[in-house]
Amino acid sequence: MASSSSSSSTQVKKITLKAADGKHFEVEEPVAMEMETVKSFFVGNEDAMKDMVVPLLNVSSEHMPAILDFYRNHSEFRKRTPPPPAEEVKAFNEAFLENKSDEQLMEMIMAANFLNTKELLNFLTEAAANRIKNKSVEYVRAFFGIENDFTPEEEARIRAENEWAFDGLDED
Amino acid sequence: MDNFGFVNRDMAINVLSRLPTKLLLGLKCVCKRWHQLLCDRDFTKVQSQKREQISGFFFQQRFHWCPYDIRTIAYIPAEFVGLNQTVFSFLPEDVVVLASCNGLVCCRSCVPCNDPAIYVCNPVDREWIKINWSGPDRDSYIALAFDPCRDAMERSINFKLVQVRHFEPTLDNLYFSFEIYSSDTGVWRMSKEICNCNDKLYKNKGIFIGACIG
Repeated sequence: MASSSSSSSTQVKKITLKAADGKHFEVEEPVAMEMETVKSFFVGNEDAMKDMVVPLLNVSSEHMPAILDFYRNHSEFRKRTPPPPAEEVKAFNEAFLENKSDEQLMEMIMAANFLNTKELLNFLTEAAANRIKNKSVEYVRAFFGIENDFTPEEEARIRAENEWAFDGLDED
Repeated sequence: MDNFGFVNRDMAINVLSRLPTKLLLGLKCVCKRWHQLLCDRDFTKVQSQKREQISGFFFQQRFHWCPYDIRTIAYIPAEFVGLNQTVFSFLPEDVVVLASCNGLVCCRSCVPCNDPAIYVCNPVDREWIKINWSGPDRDSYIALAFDPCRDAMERSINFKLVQVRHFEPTLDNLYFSFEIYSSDTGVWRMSKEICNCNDKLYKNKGIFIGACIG
């Protein structure tokens, strides 16, 4: 897995992406084209190709390296014959999420949404769903940064109506 | 303020539609916007198209030779030890569960009773409708057909009930007749189809396949 990925081929064309905070990232063209938002920037705009910097207004530079890493690895997984063993993909995905806080995960979901890449978006939203599965209402509020706007009476009534749904939740 | 927290509405839908239905019920009290979202039929449609693990079973016992029904319906969760008997408490009377199909449950009044009815309900949003009915008899069985995703444009939910009745005009000759209730017309209609079958097939419950009941 750690072997050199693209050193053998001739020089790969690079595209420059600009994160929300102004930081530039030089990215191999095929990797950049994994993002529909970048791709559509060039469609019907061929002469823009060369030295154009693509602004990514909703993606902070903090998350760019991880996101690019995801595209690089997953496009390599897709191309490989025979396809990589499921454990290898799983190991990469788990490592990818390991040190991400809930807030970082949310930010990356919004970034993936902006970049319009289904694979990354599905992966991240599935991860978020797994993190809130079987959690208490209070936990889920904190997770999403949501303020409770019900009065105590309203909340108690909704809880009572759906009493059976609260059985078997995890401890926070 | 939208009150979806760190994400927007679309992303909230994307994440929440991956959760099992039962957990979503509990999450209705997170905030008003979520309550609205989780009750929204467009959301339910997205969510019901995703595969979901079985969360539990409804269990109800029956006496074999006794005219009285057992009124308790237990919900037995699949993933943890527990038991809940309040799931159907939103209905106006005690019922016997007859059939279920894609999230709808069909029940009938417990006997003995003066005014037997069929209830088709959704325990998730606690909505129900009452359907006039001739009452239980030994020779018939009710099946339910409901497909929430069948019609992409149609927002109303339509279901059908089929009452299969067997009769023996002569010895050795067994027939089945079918009476169909459709929720869009609100009436029972006798099917012209009659099935002649000399094996006793009935009471194996109805199975909804694609668009037919087998």
